[in-house]
Amino acid sequence: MSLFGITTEMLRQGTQLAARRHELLSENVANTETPGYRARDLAFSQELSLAQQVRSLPAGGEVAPMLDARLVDQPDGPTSPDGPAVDVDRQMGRIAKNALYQHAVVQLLNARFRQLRAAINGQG
Amino acid sequence: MPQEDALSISASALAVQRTRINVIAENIANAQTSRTAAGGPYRRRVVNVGAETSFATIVGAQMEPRGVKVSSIAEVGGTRRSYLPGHPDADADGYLDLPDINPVSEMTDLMAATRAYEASVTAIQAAKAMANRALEIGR
Repeated sequence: MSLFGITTEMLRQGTQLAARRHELLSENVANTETPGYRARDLAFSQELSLAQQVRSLPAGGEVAPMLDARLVDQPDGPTSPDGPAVDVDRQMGRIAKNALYQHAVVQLLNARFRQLRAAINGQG
Repeated sequence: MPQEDALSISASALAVQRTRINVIAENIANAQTSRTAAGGPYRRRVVNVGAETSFATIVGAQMEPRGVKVSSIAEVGGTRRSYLPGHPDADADGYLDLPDINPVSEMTDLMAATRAYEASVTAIQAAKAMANRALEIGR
């Protein structure tokens, strides 16, 4: 088993996806005035099934599953011919939620590293 | 680094909104301009906004930063005739062509541009917070 293990790898992918998602959401906000623009987002629907998959992995399994996210069209309401289908309020809500998600993942990563440090120092 | 891409996307939006605000200010300032360098009265201008068209691929592969840009600034406004005999630019009948600018609609456009600017500022702040937290990993 590697030093960092599956959990760390999954959390790393989580921070990466949060950053990607923020990029997409910023783009949506940037294009609120662009005619014909369609808002896009990352779909995280796979997370729960992945969590179950991780739990069913044999102890010491080496391969971390890839967190899967898909780029999806997510227009906020119907596209009008002259206006974009971007709802700034919803996008800002998603940005806030995504930042919180990233915060949570980083906290978990930090906790993981603290555990490792404690183990290395022989504490606890 | 994804946060940098997010920052450049939001920065392009800030630039576009600033251009919009400048053009609106120009419209309001020239609401009574009856003579321009090109001749004739000033005409109302609008900023056309377009998405930056670089190729974005699916997640996992390299995702190009995309943003927004000013595609054109068009003169769209008409003129209105007002009766001002004795004005140096008035015609023989005493009528003067003035730009048809409605201050109320300019002000609402100004508010919309300001709010869009603020939304992108918030997105930038979120990107900065996320980057800072990522830098704290393992501290």
